[in-house]
Amino acid sequence: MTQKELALQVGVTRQTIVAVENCKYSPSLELAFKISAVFGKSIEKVFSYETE
Amino acid sequence: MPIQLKNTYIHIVTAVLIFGAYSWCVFGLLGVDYFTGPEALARIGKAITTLIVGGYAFELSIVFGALLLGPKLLKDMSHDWTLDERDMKIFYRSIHLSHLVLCAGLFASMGALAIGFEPFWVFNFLVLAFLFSVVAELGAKLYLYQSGT
Repeated sequence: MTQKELALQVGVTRQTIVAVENCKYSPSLELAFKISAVFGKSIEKVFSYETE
Repeated sequence: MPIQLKNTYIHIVTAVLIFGAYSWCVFGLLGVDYFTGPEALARIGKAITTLIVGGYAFELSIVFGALLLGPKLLKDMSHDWTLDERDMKIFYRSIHLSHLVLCAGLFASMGALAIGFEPFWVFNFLVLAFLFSVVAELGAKLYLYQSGT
């Protein structure tokens, strides 16, 4: 799946997907759930939180 | 280049043109002496009004021009016009910074008036504060679009 396809499915721009991938943007809970749903996985399998 | 960045660059160009034209008219064409004497306040008011009305008219013409030419220039980029949560976050953060700068400029202008600066210079401090607020907003947008939020 391309970044553009994922962006289209969750209703954001490709730049937002790029920023999420590069850990430069923390998505909202709603967007995180949408992305997880696209991959058919639970949210904790797709995202992890790391303290600095 | 993302459409949001292109949009920011267009705003930078329009801001440079608008404030450049204002500076050229007020300081070059008319001169500081034009804004002294009994009609000074009326002339300053006209200059500021022209800046605001002319500036917005120019920006609107650019926006409508971009809308007309957009489909030809952008072709397959219609999806990139989406305004998503990250865009909104960047928008609010840059506007917030812009308002802080503008408020600081307003207080500085009032301070200048209080310590005895001429109205012409006080009004131009206000214009300068407006310019700095635009610079802060566009600079923040450029930085945040390129580095996340």
